[in-house]
Amino acid sequence: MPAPRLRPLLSATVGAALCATGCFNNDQQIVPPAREFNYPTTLTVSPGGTVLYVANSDFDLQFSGGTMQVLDLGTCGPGTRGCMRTDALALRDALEGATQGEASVCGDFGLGTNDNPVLLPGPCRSFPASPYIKQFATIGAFASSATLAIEPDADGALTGRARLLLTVRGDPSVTFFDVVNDGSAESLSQPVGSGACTGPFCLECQAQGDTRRCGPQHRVGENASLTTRGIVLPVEPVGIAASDDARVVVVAHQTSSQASLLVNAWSGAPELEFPLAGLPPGPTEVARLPTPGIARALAGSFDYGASFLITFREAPEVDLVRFNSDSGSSPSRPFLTQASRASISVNSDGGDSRGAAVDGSARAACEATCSAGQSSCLVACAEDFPLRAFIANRAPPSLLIGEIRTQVVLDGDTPVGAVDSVRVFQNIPLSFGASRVHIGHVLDEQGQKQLRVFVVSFDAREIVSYDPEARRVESLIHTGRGPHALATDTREGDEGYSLLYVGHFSDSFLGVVDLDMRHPKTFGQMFAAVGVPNPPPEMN
Amino acid sequence: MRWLLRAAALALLLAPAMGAGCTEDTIEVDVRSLGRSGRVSFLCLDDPAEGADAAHPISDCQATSTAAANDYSVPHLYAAVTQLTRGEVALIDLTTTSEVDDVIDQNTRVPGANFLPVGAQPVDIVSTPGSTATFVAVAEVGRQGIFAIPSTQIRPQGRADQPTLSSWPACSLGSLTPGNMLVVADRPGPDGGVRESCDAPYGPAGGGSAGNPDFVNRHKLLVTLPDEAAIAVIDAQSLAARPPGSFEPCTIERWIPLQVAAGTVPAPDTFPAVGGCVNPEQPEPQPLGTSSRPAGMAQAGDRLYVADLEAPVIHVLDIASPCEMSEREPLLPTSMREPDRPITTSRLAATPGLTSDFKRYLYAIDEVAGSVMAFDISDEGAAPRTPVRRSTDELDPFTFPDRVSFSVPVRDVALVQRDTAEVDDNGVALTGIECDPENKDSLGAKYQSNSSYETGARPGKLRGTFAFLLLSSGQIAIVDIEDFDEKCRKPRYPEPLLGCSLEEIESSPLPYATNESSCNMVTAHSPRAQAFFTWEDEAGSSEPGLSTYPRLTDGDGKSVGDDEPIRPRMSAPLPTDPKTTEYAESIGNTGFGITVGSDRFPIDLNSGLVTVAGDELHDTLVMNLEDPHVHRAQDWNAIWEGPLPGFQNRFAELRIGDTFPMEGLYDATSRFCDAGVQSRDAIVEMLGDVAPDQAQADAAKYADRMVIASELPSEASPHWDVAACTFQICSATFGTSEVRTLARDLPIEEAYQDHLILGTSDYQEDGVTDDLIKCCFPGVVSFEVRPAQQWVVSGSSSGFLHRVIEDPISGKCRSSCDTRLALRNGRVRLTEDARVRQDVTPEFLMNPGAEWGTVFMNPMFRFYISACTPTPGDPSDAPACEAPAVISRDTRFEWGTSGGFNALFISLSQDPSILPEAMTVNPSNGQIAVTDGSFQGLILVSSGTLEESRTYF
Repeated sequence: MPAPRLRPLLSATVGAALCATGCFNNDQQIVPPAREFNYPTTLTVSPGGTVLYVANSDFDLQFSGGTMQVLDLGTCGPGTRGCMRTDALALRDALEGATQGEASVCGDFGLGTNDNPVLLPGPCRSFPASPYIKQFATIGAFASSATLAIEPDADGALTGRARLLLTVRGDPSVTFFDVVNDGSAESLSQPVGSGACTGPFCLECQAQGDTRRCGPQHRVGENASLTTRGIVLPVEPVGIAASDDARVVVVAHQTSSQASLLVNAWSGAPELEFPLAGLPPGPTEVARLPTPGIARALAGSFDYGASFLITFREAPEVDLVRFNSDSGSSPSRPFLTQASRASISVNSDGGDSRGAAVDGSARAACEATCSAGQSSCLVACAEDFPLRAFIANRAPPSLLIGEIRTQVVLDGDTPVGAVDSVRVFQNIPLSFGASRVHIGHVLDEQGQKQLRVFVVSFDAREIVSYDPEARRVESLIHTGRGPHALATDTREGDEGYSLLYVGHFSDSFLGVVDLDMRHPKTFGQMFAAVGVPNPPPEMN
Repeated sequence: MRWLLRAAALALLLAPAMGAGCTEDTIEVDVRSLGRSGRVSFLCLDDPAEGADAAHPISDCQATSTAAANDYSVPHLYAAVTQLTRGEVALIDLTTTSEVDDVIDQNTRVPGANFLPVGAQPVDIVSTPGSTATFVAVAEVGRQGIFAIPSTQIRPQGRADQPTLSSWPACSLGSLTPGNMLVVADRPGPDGGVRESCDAPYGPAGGGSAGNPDFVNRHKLLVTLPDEAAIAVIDAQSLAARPPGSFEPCTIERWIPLQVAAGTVPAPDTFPAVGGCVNPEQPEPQPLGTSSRPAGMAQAGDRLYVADLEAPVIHVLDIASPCEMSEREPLLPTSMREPDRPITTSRLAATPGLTSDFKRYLYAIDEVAGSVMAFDISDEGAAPRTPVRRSTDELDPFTFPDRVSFSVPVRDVALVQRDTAEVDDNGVALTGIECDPENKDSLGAKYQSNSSYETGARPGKLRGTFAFLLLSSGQIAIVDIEDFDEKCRKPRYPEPLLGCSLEEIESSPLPYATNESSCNMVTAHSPRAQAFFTWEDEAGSSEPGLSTYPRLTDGDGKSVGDDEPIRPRMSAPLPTDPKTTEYAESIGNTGFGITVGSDRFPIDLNSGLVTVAGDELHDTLVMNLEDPHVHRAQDWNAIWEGPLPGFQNRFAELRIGDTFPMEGLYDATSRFCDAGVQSRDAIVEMLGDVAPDQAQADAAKYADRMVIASELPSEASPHWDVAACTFQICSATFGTSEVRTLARDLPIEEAYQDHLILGTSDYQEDGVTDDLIKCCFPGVVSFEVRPAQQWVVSGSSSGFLHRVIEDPISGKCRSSCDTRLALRNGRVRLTEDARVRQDVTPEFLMNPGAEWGTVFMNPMFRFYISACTPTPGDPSDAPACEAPAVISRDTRFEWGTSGGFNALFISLSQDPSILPEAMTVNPSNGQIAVTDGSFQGLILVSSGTLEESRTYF
């Protein structure tokens, strides 16, 4: 049974207002539950799919902070039970082949029949979360968003170190964890961070004591003396994204019309460098733009800085910001500039954008056909294959679709730089409470990955799966209360799978949705859950 | 039924409120039975007791109504609306005036609104012309198929039980996902016989209910299969005849793969290179592509048009027989604005019939731009395959002549032909009669506007052919295609300055015209005006003019009065042709006057100023009235050496001094060409026909300046400890960011999209060296770009207009040779001539030679600024200013323009949550039916009153 919730739920507004600077319940030292979910806000699947990182926000300030947890998705061998993914897939297969009824299947898994399919969709009750949670650390309250930065090698392959960066509004800070890059066999065996940990469950943040509270060195933005400009992180950090070379990190601050620049140095902690002010009110989400292949190929002689898309809660606009290394100055002090802005006019208001995601798969596929040194091919890919942008907007609830076009600047025939511009051109109606957007894959009837855009409607308890190629809503996924964080876990092929993990903020559990079309009985449905739903006290 | 839902909701709302002590006010909320609505089709049905005979052709349901839903004294018109969230079809009785029974509850024994289940993701719905059945295409993964809902079962009175998925005959499409559908008739054979399938022989003639086309013809469903790039032909009757609950594979009688014909996207226009201009980049000829993804369809006679989301083509198919369909040469959507973008299309609509000049048009929505293109589909062999171009290329550079666009994307389109015929002397109502502005007694005179502008020809009266464009913001915009009243929407005295053709000028006067201020009020394929465009009070007085006379303030913000003897003057350029002057005077200065506030004043034909009461002079300009569509009320200013907009909050690297080989300012995101920067070299090239010495001198004088806007590092900064300069020297040389010295100006020798090449300071001899600048401003700088010795003109909504583009060959910023952009101007020099007599034309503006920049003309107005005040009444040509004014930076004229063109929009809802999904013309009465993807349900709009007539939710 979950620990009883001791304090009433505070509203987000009140909580945020009270906790503008440094906020967790240190005095009473009520230790956050390490083996339960507590208003989860971010889910991140590790590069190799071994673990799932879950950030819990302590949204009602019931405890002395939030937590970051590491769940074992798949260290178990194929077909072996005991890991979250393998258990979920086993349940799915059992449900599909059930001849004795679903109740019998649930019983076989020790779960019991689900008697409340409205709040907890699926035939069975939840798997307990505790066995899957292998590691945790305590962080500040109000964790908001996370991004995983992976060190690329000289060829751009993501084989190096990995770092998980998390915005924590209660500090406010960007709290970072050194973690294992399980997508690389070589990195998997290397110690992470300070060298005290190896293996897939590492969560290195110089954690102290039984509560494993992260050390101050892992909370970026609290100490002005560590920055070249003498600054601290502005309040209310929410959206965060890292460039594909993992060097540049941009954070949106929702109450101060600013975006912060952090530069990630693998030899030490990420450094806070620059606050870009003068943005429209309510910066919310940040999405990375994939760097054009021509910029990577001509790095050093090509003017292109890592770029990001930012959405706003209080302005019908999306902006592109761009990194500038300031390499011409000594000492260089990197900064951000507003590169492009586009008004949102595709719906009646447009003034409340939330989640955003950028897809560069078509451009990447084009670039993959270019041979080494073939600049003209890379230029053509950059200019002919715009990036696709997807934005969840609440005014009114809709998925906005846009594109980011790249124009390569030539000096004669030589590409010397590129500029991006964004526009939003279409909307797809959604149900109330559009919030997060996630790009992932379903598996088609042949087991091949197909790109989909998943959009959460928090209030309506729905997730829409949108097929950007066909320009149609493919399926509507019903969830429990307060779906928020999303992560996809996909492997192609005959033995493959594709699962969507849904963090339920309101009732603090995870849902598991099948995204494999070869299983029509469960496709597009939340067929399993992890963690016992625990409604906020006011809903109890 | 909705009252029950409202009551239930009220109870739910009240319960917690009472629990809290009954202190809260309750808010009554309309409970909505319709959720996210998708597509709609229409049915005309009589009393359910008549069984299959209840089905009627849609034309039998005219604009009649009944108070009760069960009053079948007339057949009822129904709308079948797909419900996207619930996977259902809602049936709405459009004939009953009852607000209780309009949205039909299919099972009153179950609380809430119960509709007809059809499976998840219903993507389209169609009904047969005779209303016997409705078909729904469903895209649910793993259960793709088509459901048939017989009209005998579509109302609860025809059934015993609550309908379920297995209540309907259906067929499975396997893994094929359907898109749009269309019902077309397989025409009878030579002897009037019908055939059961495309491959069956013709049998006997159809029978059944007299006059119902469903029983005369065999109908086929044309179903697009987007993922397969094909159209499937399925026999509708066979599908409807399957047993309820069946879901066997669909019998696809014909499979029409859509071809993307070999060919290339048409090349864009090129223009003569004059005055140092450059042509935009000419994209490489692009193949049309190989893959296709069919989208919306439109039928026009024997032709089927299919939009394509993948290939830049609109497919054209011959569907004289749906069993023998063949693809013809496609239409080619293109874009003059974005010639290198493959133009894909989403939805289509075709004019129902021919216009009076025997034209037929197809409208197509550009999927990405959200604009609309018109294609002439009258004559396949003769008409261009590319979009129709309007003829007013140069007059309206804000829009491109090959499409109609708004600030909001177009979601759907419908074309409507309608008339409200007047009765002739014999009591006969003739349709298609044009309004006659010249005669009082003709039949066409019956359509003239009356003296109070309340009847007859007017903006809100639609007679002819019009496009209704559904905007994604929840409005409908109306576009003129053919207006029978166009000839009456003219000035009474047509003249060239009002954009009138020679034929119109020769017909002057037009005594019964509306006396609008332009001859181009109604232009085919242009937005329709919301109001009369005239200065007549009775018509609303919306002619564009000045809200206030231009006011002058000096660089310190101090006002300069009209009576100041030495001051710059803004005046209207005078016509050069004496005949024009003479004509203007003879008709009361119609085209050469200006409306200021609510009064209209003639402009003095010698000074170009407004003279009031003899000696009161006012600065002025003259409005361009050739094309009314360009005018918007807004605030304007002309600032001497004003900053170009677009560089606020920009930071750039200043690479000057010994460290850098290429001296300049670098910031890729500043997009200097797009901002309109004009460099020294650009001016030299523009003045190619001018003597080289003069060109060089002009270029040096007028080239834009980069002005450093940054503050110096603070005096306490450690920078000064290591710098080669001191704070005191830097401060004395450059001032502060608020009080700057001209030493911060650096001339721009050349401009590129991502950087500027800078010249040395004009004050180099005074010690302002590059090294000093770099020393005083280390690191990135904020900056401005200011044109030298010019006024910078910008509007609050139009911004700073220019036609600078990036030379696709050199990358340098140069003026575009595109003559359609000739009026995109934002700079004007100061002239020392007291008056300027110049007919400003686009040709002059494209290649002005030594006269460049002396006269200003943008799409909305024209003027010049003299360094002195011309003498009213003095007819001599170009007297020089005797004491020219000396002007300080940031001296400015400020004025506002009023009136203008407002497009006609119909607002669908005051609720900002509206998300319109689709628009359909109700075939029985011409109403426009809009479905809402949010919660507004079905909204009907009258094409006569142009107002919402009813909303069903």
